[in-house]
Amino acid sequence: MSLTLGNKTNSLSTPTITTKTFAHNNGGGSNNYLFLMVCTDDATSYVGATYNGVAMTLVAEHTDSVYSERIAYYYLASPATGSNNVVVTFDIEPYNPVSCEAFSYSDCAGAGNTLFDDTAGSPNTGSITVSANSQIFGVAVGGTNAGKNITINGSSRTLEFTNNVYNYIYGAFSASGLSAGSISTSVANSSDVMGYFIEIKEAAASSTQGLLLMI
Amino acid sequence: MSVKYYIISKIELVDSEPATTAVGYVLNEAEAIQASADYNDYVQWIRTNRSDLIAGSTNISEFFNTTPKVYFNNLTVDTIEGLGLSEITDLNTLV
Repeated sequence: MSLTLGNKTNSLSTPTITTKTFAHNNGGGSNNYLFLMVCTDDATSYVGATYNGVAMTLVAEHTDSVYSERIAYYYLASPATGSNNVVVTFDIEPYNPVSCEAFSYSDCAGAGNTLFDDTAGSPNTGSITVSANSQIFGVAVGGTNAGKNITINGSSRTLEFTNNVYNYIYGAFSASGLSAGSISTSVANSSDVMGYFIEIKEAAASSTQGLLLMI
Repeated sequence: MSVKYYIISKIELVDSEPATTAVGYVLNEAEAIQASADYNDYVQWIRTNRSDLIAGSTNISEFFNTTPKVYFNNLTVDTIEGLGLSEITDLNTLV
């Protein structure tokens, strides 16, 4: 089976307590993973994230140098199936908006490489090295709601969401089944823009499949 | 392309604290943006007053004195299974 993107949930809120909670419907499947992107102003730090009470693993965290938005990626292997709560815990009440994108995968091997392109200007281009059959999720943080674009591997992607976090964060997935190697990325906005990308890796074929191929 | 459900919620004061309640969904981003017009003012007000809010010298109820309800698109999902929400066919009903 190939890496398959499942349900996606985008949540925007302005928590006045030290947690943000929202439900995500995880569809399950073999080699099931849940990923989470969190973004808010760097006046607030992330203590951690859970899904159905199980701690998620931090992949990477970065604060951009222009807008001071703090972006983090988390993942969880074998998450509970069905509709369960994602809970993000902060060190202090954010008050500022918090943007989250939760998304599920099956036949997944977890997180691969990440790219944080923290350079003022627009567009911002970069590259991320991926393994075969991976998919990339990326977000951009820009100062306006205009001129938004995310291009991955030469293809302008459909935006999954746009959230007003005082600045604007928007996200998109690459096409599936990327070839191994260096993949180009580009983010655009009518103002300065930064890009934050994560590779989602496909699970290796099982040994049974390997044996059948040998026969 | 799969259907996206843009869930519209309202923020209002309940027992002196802002409470968020889902009121329904729309099926396109343009309507979600239209419904979220007051939210931009809310975000700006919070940004301006956050230090005082943290310090306790300003209360968030001050915002709601002038804008009792703020509607915004707080969730975007692929499935509304189990959420018990209906489609908002007329944004003018959000008053």
